[in-house]
Amino acid sequence: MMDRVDTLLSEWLDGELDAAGRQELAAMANADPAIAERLRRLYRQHRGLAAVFAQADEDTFTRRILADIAAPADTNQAEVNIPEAELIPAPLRTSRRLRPMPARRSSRAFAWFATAAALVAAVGGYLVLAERGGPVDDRRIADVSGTGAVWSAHGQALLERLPTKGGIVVDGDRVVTGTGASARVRYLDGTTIDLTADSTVLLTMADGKRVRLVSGGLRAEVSPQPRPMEFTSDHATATVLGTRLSLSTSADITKLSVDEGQVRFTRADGSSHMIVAGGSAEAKAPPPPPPPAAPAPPQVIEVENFTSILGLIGRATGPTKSAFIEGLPTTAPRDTAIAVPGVGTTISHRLDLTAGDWIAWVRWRDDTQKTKRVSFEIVIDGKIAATVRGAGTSATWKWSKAAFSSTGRSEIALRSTFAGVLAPASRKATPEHPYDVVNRFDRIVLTRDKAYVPPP
Amino acid sequence: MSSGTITWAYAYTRELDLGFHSLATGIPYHGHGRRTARRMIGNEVESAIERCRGGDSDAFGAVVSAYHRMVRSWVAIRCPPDVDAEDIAHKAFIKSFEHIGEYQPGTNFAAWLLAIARNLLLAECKRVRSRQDSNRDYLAHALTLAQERALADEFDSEDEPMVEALRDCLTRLEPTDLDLVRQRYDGAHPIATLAADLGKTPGAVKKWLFTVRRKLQDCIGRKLGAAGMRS
Repeated sequence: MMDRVDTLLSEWLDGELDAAGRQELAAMANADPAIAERLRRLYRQHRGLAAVFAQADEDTFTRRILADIAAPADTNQAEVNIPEAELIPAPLRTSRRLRPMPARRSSRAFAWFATAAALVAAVGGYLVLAERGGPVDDRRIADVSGTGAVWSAHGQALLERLPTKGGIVVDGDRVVTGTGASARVRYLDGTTIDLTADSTVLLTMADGKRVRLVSGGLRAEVSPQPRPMEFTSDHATATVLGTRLSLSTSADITKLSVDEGQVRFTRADGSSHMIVAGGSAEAKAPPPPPPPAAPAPPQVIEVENFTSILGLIGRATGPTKSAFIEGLPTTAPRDTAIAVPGVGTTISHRLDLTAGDWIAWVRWRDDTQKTKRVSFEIVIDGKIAATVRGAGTSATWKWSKAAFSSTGRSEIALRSTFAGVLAPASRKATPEHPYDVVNRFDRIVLTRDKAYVPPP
Repeated sequence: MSSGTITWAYAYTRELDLGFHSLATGIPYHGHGRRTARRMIGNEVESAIERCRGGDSDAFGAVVSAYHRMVRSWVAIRCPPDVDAEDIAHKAFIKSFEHIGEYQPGTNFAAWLLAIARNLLLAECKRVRSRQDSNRDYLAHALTLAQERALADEFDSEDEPMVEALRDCLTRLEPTDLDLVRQRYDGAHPIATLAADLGKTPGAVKKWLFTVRRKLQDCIGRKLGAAGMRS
């Protein structure tokens, strides 16, 4: 007659047991060592049957080995990831003949299985019976003992709050030991944390047990956990499922020592991690952050002696006009802006800039005579970022600015403009002012510093 | 060299071979002429090892022939889920050949070979366990760890009495029961396929397999219990 256990065991061996069934079987194995033993025996028999019926025949097996010996490059030996010294034993002089295996050995191996199965089964939704017959919450602390001052998150003495089994850790519960003192926190699952003198830990619960080592040191023996347990310090995080470890921290370093099992040791900033198995590791405080970077010096573009010329043909004709713009047609419509060969009305620069907000400072002067209608535009990426009106006869160097946002590569253009009709006086040509309208630009300064003030 | 070690290995090999043969014919093997054969094969294997140490790789075939069932069976039942026992056994032979110069004639070759297999299996257990998701399939994870710990603790036998007992128990099954087990394990057929082939419902096949497994378990338990061992 097949009972529920038989059904689960059979289905598992035949690969037909779903996840819920496996969890159920794990819970049963935990609850009853006899079931765990049945599982173990059936598994070994199952592997034995596979060995009897499914192994390749001797010839094939031997042939493959000889082939690999003849062509070692084709073997999979690279997968053997243990030192040869650990792989190859010393000569064994005694003939180890079969002898009965004491029953305690396997049961000891399975004792772990039973404990861990209980915890994992709890994750799967199967509540495991605790000592008092109730469901286990892995946050529950069995007891806190020692000579340290122990405080809850709200200032209440934890030792007073947890006089009996089953107290629940509250975020921020704190255990503090003074000089020469020590304390032990023991969870219901058997996990223990021993604090050395002058230590402080914060006990919190997130997705599993969390222990923050604020100062000092601790030694922990972690029972197999359904959810990873984490020990954190200012410098690193040690993540464990079940192990024995020691952790200490000071202002500039956290040291980890793993006696058994594996621990994932991660730097506090997450920059690196390592798996520590049976060894030690340490995480030093990260180097102090570099001083704030000085604002990048403004990007200065020198536009030396650039002259943007707006030539003008006005109403007047005759020698006066031709005198100051040689070669220009005299029949052009009046008030027409033209570009003089060799110079231009626009100058542009394509620049690689860091994406973001920028300010373009432009130094200019206007030698236009007696007109205020002359202006120029700062055109960036095809859009007019600023329009600067001329000051007529001011003829002094000035700075103007335009803010813009660059996506990385921008075109900065300066474009002379003119609107309206120049006064007759402006058409007077002199050696210093051969053209009617003269905008001069000699510097462009690009900066991201809003406080930047261009030099005089 | 200890001829006792090698002759024992031969006896083990020889018995299993013939036991396997008996499964096919249905005629139990009674072990006639075993002692004579032991001495003969022991000398041959000893000679083969010597030739291997001298650089004759072809001679290793005789060594494999003598020990393959011992190693494969030993590894098979100690293998955790998700580990290929045949691959471990294969590597154990390869490694033993590569380091045959370190083997000292006169010591126990079988124990040396099994120690290599054990070390390989232990390393594989650790590797596999580190990749297993214990939350997703805890049974596999727990069995892997249990097998790993058993390997670390219990390496004191160089043969596998459980498989030996299993072979013997198989010969005692009803032919139909034996045929069912053979189909299940030889072809690794799913239950549904097996049921269709046998003209039965999957539930009936599961129950049948359960009954046969229990018979085997009881038989193995009796045999090992009589020898003061546990299965």
